[in-house]
Amino acid sequence: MRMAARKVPGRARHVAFPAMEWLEEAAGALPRLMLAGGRRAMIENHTGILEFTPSCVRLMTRQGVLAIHGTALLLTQIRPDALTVRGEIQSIELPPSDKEAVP
Amino acid sequence: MRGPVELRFRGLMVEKLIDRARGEGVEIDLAQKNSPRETILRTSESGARRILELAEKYKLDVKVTRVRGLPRLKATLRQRLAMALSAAIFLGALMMLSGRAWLVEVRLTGGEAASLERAMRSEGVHVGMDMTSLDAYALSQRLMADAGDLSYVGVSRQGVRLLIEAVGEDEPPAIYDPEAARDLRATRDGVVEQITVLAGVAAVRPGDTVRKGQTLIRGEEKATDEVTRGVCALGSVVARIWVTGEAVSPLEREVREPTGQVRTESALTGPGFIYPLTSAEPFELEKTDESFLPVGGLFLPVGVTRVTHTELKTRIVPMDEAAIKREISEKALGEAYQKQPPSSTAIDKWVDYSMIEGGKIRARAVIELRMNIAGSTDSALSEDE
Repeated sequence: MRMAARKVPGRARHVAFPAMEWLEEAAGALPRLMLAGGRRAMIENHTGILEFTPSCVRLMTRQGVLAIHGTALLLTQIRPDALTVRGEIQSIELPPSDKEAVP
Repeated sequence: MRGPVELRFRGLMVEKLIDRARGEGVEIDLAQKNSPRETILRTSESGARRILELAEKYKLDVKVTRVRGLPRLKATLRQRLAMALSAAIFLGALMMLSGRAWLVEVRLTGGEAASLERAMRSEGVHVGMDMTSLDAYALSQRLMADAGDLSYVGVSRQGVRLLIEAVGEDEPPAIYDPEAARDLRATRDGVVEQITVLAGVAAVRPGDTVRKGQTLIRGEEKATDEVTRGVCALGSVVARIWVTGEAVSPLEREVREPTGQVRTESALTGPGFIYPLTSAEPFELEKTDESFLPVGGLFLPVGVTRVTHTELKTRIVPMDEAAIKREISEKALGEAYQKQPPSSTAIDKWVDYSMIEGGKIRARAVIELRMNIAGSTDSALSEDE
């Protein structure tokens, strides 16, 4: 799949193969974010923590950088491919959808 | 679930440490920044070990600040082996002792205590007995069989207490010879209300006043028109009976009051002598007060004894009649209730008051009862007397 991503641009790949998106999600290539009431956000399929402060948590994903802004943020349940951000979440910046996946 | 080990990281770029740890499969339950240069990490015991290894490898300032839960308990036990050992011994002893009966309580209603005690001894029921494999039902059945005179035995285990509840056998009904002729007679005076004849012939009718000993049901029946043969009379005669109680109380009481007349006499007294100083005649009705005034000091027991005679007169004061009536009616009713036969039912009660000689009042309490007054002379069927 990574080889296919290198050969075909992302937009063209999605237009040409709509089923690829589902396959990527199933394979864990797409980041998944679940927000619960503005107090807790669970992020799966991230590839690393770029920044961690009480006001901002930035995570690297295959699609780009995902940023969570808020106050009194802390990380809980840090597992190899998932973590939970708790605190007063004010905003979430998602990576641009047409951006190339970052390994 | 929060990790039992808390680590403190001091420095910048905690993100890298977390990523490294995450990459090695360490699960961190909490990461919280206290300040830009200090982060608290909470993880499991094995995770903490891996993070400390990483910190040592990359020369990071990471320290264990708090250990909770099982790791802490293990460390404490390792440090205090004697305490752990004694706790284990204590728990073992507690388990062993809690399986025994340290209190055997017996509640016996009716029946003889001696037979139950004998049965308990034969079944090995005693303080300190092993209760780990106790079958309470089987033990109760064995106790009942051994005792012989019990109608119920219940055994229950309540912690280290063994409770044995036993009830004695009911008394068997009176045995009488149905062939032996007998009459049923009145055991008390009363007015007959109801007669039930099972065998024999009724000798009284409802409404009759009967005296104690009077025949109520004759033990006879007609064999033929001319021949009458004796039978054992059976039945009951319910009658109204009365029991009474009395109490007496005076309506006035004597009060002694001083008249104001006072006489005083005094004498010099010492060890073995009395020397009168002044004298006074005593009153017919008086109250005396004696006082001693020492004159010889502490070491010479000599002093003046002074006796004051106060004249009294007697006055008759009427008492509160309502209070007196209340008091004597309670006494009279109490006396009447004591005379009530156990098998009777009270249907009415009242109290009469009357003045008697000496200015006294008398209360007479009457309780009307209903009971079976039929009894045989040999008391086979009688319920009273």
